[in-house]
Amino acid sequence: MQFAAAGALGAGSSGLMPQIAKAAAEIKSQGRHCVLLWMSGGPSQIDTFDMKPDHANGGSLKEAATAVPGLRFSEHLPGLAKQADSLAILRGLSTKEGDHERGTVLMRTGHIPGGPVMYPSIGCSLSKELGSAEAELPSYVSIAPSAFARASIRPGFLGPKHAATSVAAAADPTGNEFARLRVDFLEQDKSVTRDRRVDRLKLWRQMQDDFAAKRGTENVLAQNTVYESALRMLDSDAKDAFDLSTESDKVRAAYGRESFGQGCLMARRLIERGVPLVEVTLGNGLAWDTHADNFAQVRRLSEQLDAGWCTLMTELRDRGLLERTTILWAGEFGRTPVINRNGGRDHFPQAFSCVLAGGGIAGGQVYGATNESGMEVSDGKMDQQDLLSTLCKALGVSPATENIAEGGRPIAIAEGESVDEVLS
Amino acid sequence: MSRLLSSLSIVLLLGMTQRAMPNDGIAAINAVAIDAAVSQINQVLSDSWQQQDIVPAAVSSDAEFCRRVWLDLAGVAPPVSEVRMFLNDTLPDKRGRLIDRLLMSPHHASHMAATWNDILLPADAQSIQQRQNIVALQRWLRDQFIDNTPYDYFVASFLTAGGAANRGPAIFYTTREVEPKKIAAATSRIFLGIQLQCAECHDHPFDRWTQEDFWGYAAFFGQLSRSDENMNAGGLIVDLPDGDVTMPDSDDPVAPHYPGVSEPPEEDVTNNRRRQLTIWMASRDNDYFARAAVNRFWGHLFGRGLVDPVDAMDKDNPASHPELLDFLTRYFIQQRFDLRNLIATIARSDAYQRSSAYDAVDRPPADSFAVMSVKTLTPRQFYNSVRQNVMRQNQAVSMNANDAQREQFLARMRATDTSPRDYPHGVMQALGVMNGPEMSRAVHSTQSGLLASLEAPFFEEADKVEAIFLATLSRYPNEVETQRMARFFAKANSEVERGQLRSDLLWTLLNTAEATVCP
Repeated sequence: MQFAAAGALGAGSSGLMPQIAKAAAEIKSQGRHCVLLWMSGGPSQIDTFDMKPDHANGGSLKEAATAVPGLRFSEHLPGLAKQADSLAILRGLSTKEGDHERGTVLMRTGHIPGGPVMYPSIGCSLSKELGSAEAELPSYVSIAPSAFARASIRPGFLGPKHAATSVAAAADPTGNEFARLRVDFLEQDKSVTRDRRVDRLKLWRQMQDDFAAKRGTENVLAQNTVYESALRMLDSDAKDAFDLSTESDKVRAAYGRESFGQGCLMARRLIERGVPLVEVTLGNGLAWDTHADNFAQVRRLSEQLDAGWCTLMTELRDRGLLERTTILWAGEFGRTPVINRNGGRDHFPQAFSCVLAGGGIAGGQVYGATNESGMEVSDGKMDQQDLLSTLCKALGVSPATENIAEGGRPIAIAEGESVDEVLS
Repeated sequence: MSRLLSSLSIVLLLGMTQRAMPNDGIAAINAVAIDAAVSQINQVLSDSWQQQDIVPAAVSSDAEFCRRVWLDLAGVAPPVSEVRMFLNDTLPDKRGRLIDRLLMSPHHASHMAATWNDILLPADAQSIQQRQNIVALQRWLRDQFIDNTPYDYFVASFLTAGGAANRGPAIFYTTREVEPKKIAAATSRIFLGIQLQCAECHDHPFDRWTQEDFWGYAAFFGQLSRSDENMNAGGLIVDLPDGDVTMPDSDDPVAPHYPGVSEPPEEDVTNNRRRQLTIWMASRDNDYFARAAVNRFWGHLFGRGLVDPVDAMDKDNPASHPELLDFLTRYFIQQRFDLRNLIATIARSDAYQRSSAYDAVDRPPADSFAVMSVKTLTPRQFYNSVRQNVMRQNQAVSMNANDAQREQFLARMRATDTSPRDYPHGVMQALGVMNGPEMSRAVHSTQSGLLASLEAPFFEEADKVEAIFLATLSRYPNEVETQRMARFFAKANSEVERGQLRSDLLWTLLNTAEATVCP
């Protein structure tokens, strides 16, 4: 692996507080992390990672060389081009869902929606395996999820305790401001003073103890445990991870001022504090849904993507954390190679790209290919199950790990064929 | 098999249009039968406690019982005035009267419709854009419960529903992609209490079911199809004249047959296979049907079925009290599948009157029914209780009430396939209850109907505390709590501060385990 040497030295030299450095070292010994970069709306593969400069479908954006000889992608991803040796580009994705909502559920759960089983989103399954119940911070944080994604980031039969903690983003800022990100329900009613809160909790604990004394049943005790964890989180310093104002403007700006960039920065802070799974969405609503004026939009989105993703990888590598962090870049489907009359591209699940990067991934390669026109997968065809199985393996989680669904049925996290060629 | 052509099948042949007259006054009509059945239940359970040296819990207090029976039967905690009235009631049989009154209330029909909606629909259906169809199904179900449609008629009409007149039940089929094997798995689980789908690929490992049983059963749904009409709303359900199912690795169509029955199925004049199925399914000759129903309703009231989970009544999962299950099955059939009558009977049993509090360290096991289970409220029960008693919004009893805030709360808290004896929520849900918009509204001095009503100057502080306890926990504060409250309020120096403390008390009580459960 190209970045194996970074090690704990990186953490020591990066100016972190000692306890975080210590925590980071502990994480190295056991914890793995996963970052899902979710491209809401369906990103255009042919304008990003699978370009066709010699074909009429190629469009107006230009291809450029990367740090890896022979590997080329969009010139609007210059930072990623420099780190191409950490990326494995999968060009052979193919599924059957071209509807946003259904496609989002399919890519995230591995299953078509609407069946009798409520399949969990992959983030919930993975955070359940990678996380610890005693942690102060939640195991799965989803930053700026779009409305479609919100419904699909679901724990399904794993139960709500494996749900994601979502961080809402205000509208992207204008001028020199940074996007504001806010954690749902972490802010307490400001009109209630600290003294009143202390008194409330004292009374609450008395009531809880009295009730449990005669009704110490599993559900009553579990309610108390869950509440105590929630209260611990409200009180903990760990929740400072969500406070980006302690970062320098220089660092914040490097990530990009929009919610995606700031979300990537938050992802780095959360990973430093041991959170196993962080998801960052690019595209408020369905920004990648470029039915019209595709090229200008993709260019703008690529710039955001490049700044956030690239800085995240750099900072994780500096801290010795990239080798423990696997990154997946994906959306619900790709876009039609044929350009429509509005200069846009439509939904296209038949042949599109995803990218894996970081820990557990053999970077600097392309797996799979589409034909000249980009209309069909010509090599290395894989579906969403294969992708999820590969992601599991990269994180050291067996895709065959079973959870119990409704009616007592054991169900594996993913059932595809993993692409071992991209695993390190 | 012609003896199976009971009066039920005749009604079925007539097109399921007839309905039994609604019962008006359960106990009045069936008092003798109910009393006899209650004694029988009591006898079986007290014998089993004696045999196992179990000391049952004390009889529940009136307040505990009142909260329980409201939440179980009406789906919502009792309004404050109802608790006061019940506690002051000195006439005989007040518990029985409350049971009967609640069973006749529109709350009960709504609660049952919501409960059955969750039973019938796959977990996933709720999250898809099906709102309109879910509402249609709830309305259809609610009508059945308002009329107290006998359970066999209710299920038979559900299983033969189709066409434009039955948009409600159609979602049951469309969410299972109108696929015979999925519908077979769901209907056998829900209405027969058996996991027939385990025999989909091979003979059931722990039971008598063969692969032929599963596919022969699935064949009854082979004619089902989705018509093109009304596609935007999921489509209508129709029966085509033909449609065969085949077993995996075979091209031969499987003939429909009743699982575990050797004779061929009843003929149906219109060759409607679903109707053929219901002739047997919802008949008194099919023991699984009534057993599954009584077990499910027992589970609804006790938080645990006599067989648990209620839809896994397989051979390797015996009942805790087999003779009691047999008795209730016969009783339910004798009482012509009368659901209100069944619930009224179980709710009058001695076991249902027991407290969920237990002093000794060794709490008797849940399957002894010697102590009531503490049941976690569903998010809907919790929200409706807070809305009714604390926010005090005007609400139509109809589930049609468009309440966006409630929908958001339910979506956030939704758990699938959980036992009421579990607490399914995690840290995020707890934070959401503590700090979410619903709680803010409930404890806000001007938005909370309860707190606003307590601003009146002629109440003593103790009365106000009492009202907050009744609204959240459905009981008066006990002596220790009264003293605690006196100290809690002693630090306030002004009416403003007292108002803040009332809000704090309300927040505290709403977040206790006690407010989150049915005692």
